[in-house]
Amino acid sequence: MANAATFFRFGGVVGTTLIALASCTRHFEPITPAGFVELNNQKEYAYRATNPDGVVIAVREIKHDPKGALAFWERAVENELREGRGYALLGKEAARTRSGLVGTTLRFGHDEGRNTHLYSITVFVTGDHVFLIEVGGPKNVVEGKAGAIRAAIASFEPEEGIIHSLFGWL
Amino acid sequence: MVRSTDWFASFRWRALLLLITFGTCEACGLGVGYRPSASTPSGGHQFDDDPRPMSMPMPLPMPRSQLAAPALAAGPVARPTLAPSDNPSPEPKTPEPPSNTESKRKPLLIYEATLDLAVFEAKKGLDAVEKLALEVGGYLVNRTDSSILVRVPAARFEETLKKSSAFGDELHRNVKVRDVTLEFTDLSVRLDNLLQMRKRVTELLAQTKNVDEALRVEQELTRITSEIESLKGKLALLGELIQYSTLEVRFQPRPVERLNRTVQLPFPWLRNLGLTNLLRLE
Repeated sequence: MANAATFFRFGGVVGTTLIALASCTRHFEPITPAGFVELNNQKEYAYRATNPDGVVIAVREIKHDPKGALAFWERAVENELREGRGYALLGKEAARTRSGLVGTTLRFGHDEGRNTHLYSITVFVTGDHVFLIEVGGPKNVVEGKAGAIRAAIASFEPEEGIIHSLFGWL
Repeated sequence: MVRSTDWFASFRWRALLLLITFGTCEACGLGVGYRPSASTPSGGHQFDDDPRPMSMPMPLPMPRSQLAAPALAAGPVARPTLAPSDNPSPEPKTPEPPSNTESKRKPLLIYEATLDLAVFEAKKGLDAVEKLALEVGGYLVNRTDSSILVRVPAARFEETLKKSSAFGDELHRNVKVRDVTLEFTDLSVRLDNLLQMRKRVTELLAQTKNVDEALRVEQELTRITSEIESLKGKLALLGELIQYSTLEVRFQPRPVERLNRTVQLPFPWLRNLGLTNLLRLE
């Protein structure tokens, strides 16, 4: 009986720890581009970094529920930004993670006050999560950092390991 | 035996009374409208010896002091004619539709369009729209930081609309066409009638015999003139709207109530996307 109680107690602690780990950690590798610093204590974003000139790169990690295809999420984002906010859709192109997962990058333009800004969202969809990589900043600065940003997005890799697979439903 | 002069005087008074009666009716809208008779000499006016006194809209015996000298010499039955220069206000030309012959064949249409373009490089887009409007023979009506209103010749409206939509990411387009053929025709007919009426009243004014009558006619003349000016204004505006189409280009998100969305996706994170949150680093 004592052994059983110990087993269950131990199992409970391990389970709780795993749940905490699964729910608190981000499910991707950081992608900080050269010249950027990562910002800590982010609430809305799973990751956010900035450069001194005001270009920001961030990742949202959204539980994939309900399940939808890449085209669904891509369209939902496009509609929200174009119709709802008046963002100009400048282009749309395919993107790939390091391991070859296919996603889509939507490139937008928008005036913030009198300044022209560029804003892009790259959408990747895995079994458990929808990842949104957002990049934005003043147009001329973003254009100057285009190479580093592109490289960072190409190095993005979602982690759908065993622990995440086990507790992904959480 | 009644002397012919007494009979004549008696007849004149009776005719005058009749005229006053029907003139009052006319003033309150019940009278019979005066129509020039074919037998009336051009530019002339029937006097109170006319066998058809009921056709007179108002009692307008001309004061003798205002009669032209030849008329005085001719006696009470004289039919003075007014020279064109006697008209106190020369008839201005009636506004014409864009083309009279065209308007008989084609409907008169007013085009209005609104283009909602995404908010990106708005100043550049506004400059481009303004330049385009001037190039096609139009003009600028209003411009703000986020929108521009131009008028362009109707013949080049479609071309302007197409080119303007290429200046940005078109989010929404609203084109309205209004057929104003009936309205224009109605206003034109009413204006013609009023112009004719003013001409007749002006002629009657010259024939009033005392100040009271002259004042009453003047009042009527003022009313008619005011109505004419109002109609001319409306016609001029319609003509302008027909000839020049209105195009508004807006670089601003459409208000939520006008989005006309049928589905609002239940994903709150969608509402948090965008530059505002991304760039707020504190």
